[in-house]
Amino acid sequence: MNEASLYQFRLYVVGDTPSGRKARDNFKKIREYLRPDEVQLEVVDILQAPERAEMDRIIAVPTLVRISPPPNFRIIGDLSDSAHLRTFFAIPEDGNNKLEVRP
Amino acid sequence: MTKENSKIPVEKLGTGIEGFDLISQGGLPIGRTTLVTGTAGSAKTVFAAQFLAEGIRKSNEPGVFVTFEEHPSEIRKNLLSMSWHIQEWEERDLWRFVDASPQPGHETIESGEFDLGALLARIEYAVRSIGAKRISIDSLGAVFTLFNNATLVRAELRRLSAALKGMGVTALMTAERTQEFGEIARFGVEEFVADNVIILRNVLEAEKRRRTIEILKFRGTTHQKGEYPFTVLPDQGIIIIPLSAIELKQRSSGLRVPSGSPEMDRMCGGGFFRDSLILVSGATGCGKTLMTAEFIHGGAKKGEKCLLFAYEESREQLLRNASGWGIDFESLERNNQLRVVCAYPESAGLEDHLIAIKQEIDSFKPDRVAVDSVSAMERVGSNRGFREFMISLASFVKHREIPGMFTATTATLMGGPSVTESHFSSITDTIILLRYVEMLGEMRRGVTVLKMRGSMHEKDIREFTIDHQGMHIGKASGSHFGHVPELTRLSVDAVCVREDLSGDLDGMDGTSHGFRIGSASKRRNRSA
Repeated sequence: MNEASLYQFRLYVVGDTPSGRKARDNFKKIREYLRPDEVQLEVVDILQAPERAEMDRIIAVPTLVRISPPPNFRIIGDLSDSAHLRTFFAIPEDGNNKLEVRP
Repeated sequence: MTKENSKIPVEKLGTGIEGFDLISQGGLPIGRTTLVTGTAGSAKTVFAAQFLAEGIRKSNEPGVFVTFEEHPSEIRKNLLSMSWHIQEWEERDLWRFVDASPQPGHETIESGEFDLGALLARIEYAVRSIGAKRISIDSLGAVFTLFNNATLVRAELRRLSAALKGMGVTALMTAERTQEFGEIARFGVEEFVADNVIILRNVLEAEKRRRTIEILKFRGTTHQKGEYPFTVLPDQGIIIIPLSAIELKQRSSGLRVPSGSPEMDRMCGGGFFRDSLILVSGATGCGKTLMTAEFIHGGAKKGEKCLLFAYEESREQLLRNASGWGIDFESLERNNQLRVVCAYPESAGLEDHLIAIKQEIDSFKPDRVAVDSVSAMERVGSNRGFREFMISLASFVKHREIPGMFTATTATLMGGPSVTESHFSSITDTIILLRYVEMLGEMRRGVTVLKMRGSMHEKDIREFTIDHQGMHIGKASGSHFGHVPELTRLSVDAVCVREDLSGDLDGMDGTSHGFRIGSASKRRNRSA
C-alpha cells in the first residue's frame, strides 16, 4: 500500500460489534475485485475518535466512506447486500466472477 | 433503566423562556425527554434553540444542539436575528452542535443492517465534553427521511431516548405534524420518545395568524391546561402570554391620586385609587382623549411620570389637540415626565402590541398609564384574542400598582354596548361614561361615574363642556336631562367575562358581577 492508492476507504464502527465485524469481512471480499494492493482501508472506532465521526457527519454504523476517487460515496450497513455492492463498485455479474458476501 | 429515585417527585428545570415556566409550573421535567410538535412554521426550531440559549444566558448551563435538518451554519445565521451569538457560545464551550444534517452531493446507499450507534456516540461525546445539562434535537421527522427503514429508525430513537436519560440531561425533541388538530406527530414518534408532549400551533383565525402553545401531557407532574398565545420577537425569541396562569396577588391600597380634574375627583369621592383601572367609555368625539389628557396632566402636575399609548391619532394630531386644551405634551416629554407611544393597531398582532406595551412600561416605569383607545385593538385580532389581550393588559398594569386609564369607543354615537366594555367592565375598578345627551332640545355632553370599586361616588349625570382650557364639569343637572336611552341598556353591557378579579368590594352593589342599572329612579335611591 502506498500514498497513491487508487482506492481509499474509511470504515466507521462503534466498538467491536457483530455488524462491524461483518462489514470488515465483507469488505475483504470486495477488495478482491478491486486490485487488492491499490485499496487502502482505515477503520475508525467512533468510541475512540468521536471527533472524526463529527467531521464526516456519521450517524449510522457501520458506514463505509469512499475518500478517493471522488465523489465521496457512502454505504451504510454491514455490506451484506451484494446487488447493491455490485452496482456501487461496478463489479460485473457473471458466472466466474461471483461476489459472495456474508449475509 | 433510569437513574431517577422513585421516592422523589418529578423536579423541573426552569427553561427561562418567558411565560413558559409559569404555564409549565416550573419548566421541563428534569432528566426527561419532552417532545415539541407543530406544523411547518410553528417555531419548533426557535423553541428548541431558545431552550439552550436561555440556559446559557440565565444560568450558564451548557447545551447540545443536534440538527437533522438545517446545517449549523444556517442555524447560527438564522438565530442571530434573536441576538443569540451561537458562535461565541461555541467558542466558550457553552454550545455544541452535533451535525446530522443531510449533505448535498453525498450519495448514500444502504447495504445490510446498521444502527444509529454513531449518532449516539457523538451525542454522548458532545454532552460529556462540555458538561451539557440541556439537549435539543431538531427534528425527529427528518431522521426518518434519512433512512429507508422506518422500523429500524423507530427502534433506534427509542434507544436514543433511553440513553439520554442515562446521561442525566434534560432533553427536548421536535417533531412535525401535518395538521393543527389531529395526530400528535408524524411517524407516531410521541409513542416511544416522550413522557411529555408540548404542541405549538399556528392557526389562521379570522384572517389572522395566531400562535399558541399547549402542554398536552407531563407525566407524573402538573402543568397549566389549555392553549396560551405566544409570539416570536426579534431579539427575544418566543414570549408566551400566560393568561389564566397570571397570579392575582396585587395588593389593594386606599391611596388616592388626582384624576386631573377637581370636579371628577369629587365625583369619584376623592380621586382615583392609585392601583385602579379606569375605563372611560364614550362615542367618538365625546371627550375620551381629552379625559386621558387631563389624567396625564393631573399626574404631571404632581411630578409623576406618565405613559400614553395612542392608537387612534397620529403623534402630531395628539400634540395639537392637547395644546388646544391648554396641555403642553411636548414640554412634558422634554422633561421626561411623559412618553407618548403612537402606533397603528394594524401594524402588529395583538400579542406583539401587548408585549410592546409591557416593555414600554417596564423601561419607562411610569406612575400612571393611559391607553387611548383599547377598542381600536378590536380590529386587530379575533374576539377571543382581544379578550385575552384585555385581561392580560389589565392584570399587567394592576401588578405595577399604578393607575391605568383605558378608553373604549362605543359602536354607536348615542352610546350603547361595545365589545371592549363587555370584556373589560368586570375587571375595571372604575367606569366613567361620556355620552351625548339630549337636554332641553340640544345635544350636550354628559359624564357620570358608573362604578367606583371600594368607594362612594356620585351617581349624578353631570354636563361638561370643552374649551381651550380643557374639560369643565358642571353641576349635577338633575331633572333637566332628557331621555338617556343608552343608560337603561347598560345592564346588558356588563356581561361578566370573568369572576371578579380582585375580590375587592364592589362599590356599586356588592356583587361580583360588575354593575347593574335598572332605571333612573333606582339610581337616585342608591345615591350616597
